[in-house]
Amino acid sequence: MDILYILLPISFILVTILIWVIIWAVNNGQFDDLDGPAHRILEDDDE
Amino acid sequence: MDETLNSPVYSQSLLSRYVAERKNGLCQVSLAINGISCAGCIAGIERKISEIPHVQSIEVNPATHRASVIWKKSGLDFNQLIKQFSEIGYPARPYQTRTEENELEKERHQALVRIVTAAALGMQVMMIATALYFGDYSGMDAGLRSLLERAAMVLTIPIMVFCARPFFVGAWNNIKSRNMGMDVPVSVALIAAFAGSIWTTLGHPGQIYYESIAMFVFLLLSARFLELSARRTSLQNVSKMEKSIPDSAFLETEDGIVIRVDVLDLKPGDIVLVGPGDTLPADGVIIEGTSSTNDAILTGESKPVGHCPGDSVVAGSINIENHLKIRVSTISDDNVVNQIAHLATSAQGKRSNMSRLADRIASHFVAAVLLLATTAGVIWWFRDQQLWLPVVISTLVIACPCALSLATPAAFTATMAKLTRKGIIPIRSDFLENIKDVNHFVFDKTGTLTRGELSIVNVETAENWTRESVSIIAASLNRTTRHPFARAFLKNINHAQLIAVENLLHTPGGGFTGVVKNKKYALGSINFINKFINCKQETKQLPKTGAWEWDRPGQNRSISLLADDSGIIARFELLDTLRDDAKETIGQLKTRGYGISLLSGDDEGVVSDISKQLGIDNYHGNLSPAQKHRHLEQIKKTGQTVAMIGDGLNDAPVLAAASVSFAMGESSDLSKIHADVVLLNNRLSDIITVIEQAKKTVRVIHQNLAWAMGYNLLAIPAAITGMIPPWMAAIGMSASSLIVSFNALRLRKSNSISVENPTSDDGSADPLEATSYS
Repeated sequence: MDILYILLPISFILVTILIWVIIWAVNNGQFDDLDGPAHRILEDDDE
Repeated sequence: MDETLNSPVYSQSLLSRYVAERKNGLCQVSLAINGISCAGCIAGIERKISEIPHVQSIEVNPATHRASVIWKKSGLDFNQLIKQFSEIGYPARPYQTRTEENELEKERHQALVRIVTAAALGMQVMMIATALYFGDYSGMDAGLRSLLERAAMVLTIPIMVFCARPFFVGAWNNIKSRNMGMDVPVSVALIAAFAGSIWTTLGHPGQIYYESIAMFVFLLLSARFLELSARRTSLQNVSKMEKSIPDSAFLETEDGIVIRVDVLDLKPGDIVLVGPGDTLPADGVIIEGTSSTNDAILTGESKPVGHCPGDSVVAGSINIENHLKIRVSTISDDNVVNQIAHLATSAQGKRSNMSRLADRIASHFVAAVLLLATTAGVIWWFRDQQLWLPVVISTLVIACPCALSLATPAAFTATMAKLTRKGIIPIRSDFLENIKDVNHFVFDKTGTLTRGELSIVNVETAENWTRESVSIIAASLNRTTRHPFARAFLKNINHAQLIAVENLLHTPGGGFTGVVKNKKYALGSINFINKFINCKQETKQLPKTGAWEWDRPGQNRSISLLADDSGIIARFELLDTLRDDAKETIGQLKTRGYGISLLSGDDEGVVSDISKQLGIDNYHGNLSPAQKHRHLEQIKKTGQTVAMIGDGLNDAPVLAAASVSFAMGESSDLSKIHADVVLLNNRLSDIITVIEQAKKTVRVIHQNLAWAMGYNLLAIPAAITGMIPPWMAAIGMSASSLIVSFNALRLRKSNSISVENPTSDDGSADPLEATSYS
């Protein structure tokens, strides 16, 4: 079970990366408007 | 930067924008408050702030976390008041949609990050917990067990320090204001569980609860997030309205030059130009141009409304086809959109009796739970030292006052937001509870059951004239005025057909004279026409052309005559028309078993005529407001609970006497309306929408309370007797919170209500619409 000494730190690092990515996404406004984009695809864009 | 946000000093000029002066040296301000996590906090804030000398009243809305404070201006400085809020742990600042919205957006971001962090870390902790459970069965090396426990501990630290922070802050504020909110037991349980787990991890006998902590924090954060979403929707509705007004406008100066100016610089009387597709920058009156507008932002109704010169239009609506020239009537702060936004927010700021009751019960409930947990802990300490901690944790965790402190306000907010979106503006929130007792509806006539505007119902012409030709001449003469009569004439006419009028002369109270195609015409009352013709021909007797009796009495209808040099050529009968959905709504109300009365100040004959059309048996005409009031009291004396529907201005005292009052939103001065609900769309069928929605809201709240009672009655005794381990308690409580929150949010859904779109039985029911499309 010595492998745990490597696996545990790796899982810690992965979790850290995961949280960091989510924080980035939230602050980047990815979750601000969850309905708008779905409707926007139906609108005509004016070139 | 947060420092300056928390205790800024507001300058006098800035304050004048937020603080509203009231009578007797009082003033009022709306504040957005940070740090409220439950009903207990609100009760605490209200108590603490109302204890401050010179503070007259404070009311905190649990759904929007907004407070309305009224205080004596001479006695207390505003900045001192703000400081008091910071001191009891709830920083506040004057409310303005934009800052409030930014704050909420920030709060939402933080909540999301907390939820995701708790989820990500929680998964790791669970994984380790699974390994440890297997270890319990198949045997595990003590060193390995210790390693895994320590790993779980490390992963739980950020959950406790970062994710669970809102609970601790909330609990701390509760304790400071000596008020029991649900954060207190939650925090005590979290700390006890974490401390107990660390104790075990460090080698003492006992259990670890890391996975329970992670799960509990994650699920409870999720429940809170739902409540936050409800608040966000309601705020977005309001700010969407306010934001709909453009920042700049095209102003026509006295020299006829068009310049672009800031909307805030517009003054009443200014003339602005609005192109097709543009949003109206201010409330005003059309002085040139005919077009239709989309008022969806205000009324939720996207069907365009036709307008011609003399019509009032409101800021925020979108001009559709043609250029319009508008004379500004009100400046931006007083415009209809801001008034509605103000009404809507202040309604949400007022708490209903039901929410108040829920607050009080929640506070007692939490106190009782703390007492029970302590007692249980003491008893178990003597019975089984191994079990006292899990029992205390389970008891604290499993008790769920969420139906009271989270779900009830959320239900109200969701309902209010939904009604506002449909153009039904709630001004007081109590009506949602009161309307279920109502069994009698009293209607006013003019402007309520009828449109309050005249239409031409009958045209008779002299020989050699067609209806169309006289209508066009009459409309042309009326082209430039705003009189209700003029509107009636212009409504049925294609504006392209209008003929230019020379020497147009308006005699107030009489009518018009003007030259159309080199012929002089007069349009107006019988007396006016009499004068016109007599001056011309110098005879006393009016000539009668043909056999028709143009001078017979109107039978409750107003009469307008059109004459040329030779004599009278047409007779128009004008009548106030029923609203399209009046009959359907009355019918619906009757099938639902409500009593219906019509009380009107109008002529008995007209009233009985309309009552017959609508199938109302109980009607009274010729009533003064005082008599209406007496009639209403009489109906009440027979043991009925009355809802009144009126125009909200003239019949305000009568509306006030009713349990629930509705006002039509016809008036542009909404701030003067006294009613519980304003129907902006002027749709009578909205009354049924309100009845349905109120029923649903009360039903949802009752469901939640019933669930909460059943759940707590079963769960708390089970936890005290040691039948429920902490992890199960965490799931139970969180599931219960989520259930009641989801149930409350169901109200937000716009599932169709039976009479959402009353179809008019006649395609051309709205001639204005025909006009605008032609």
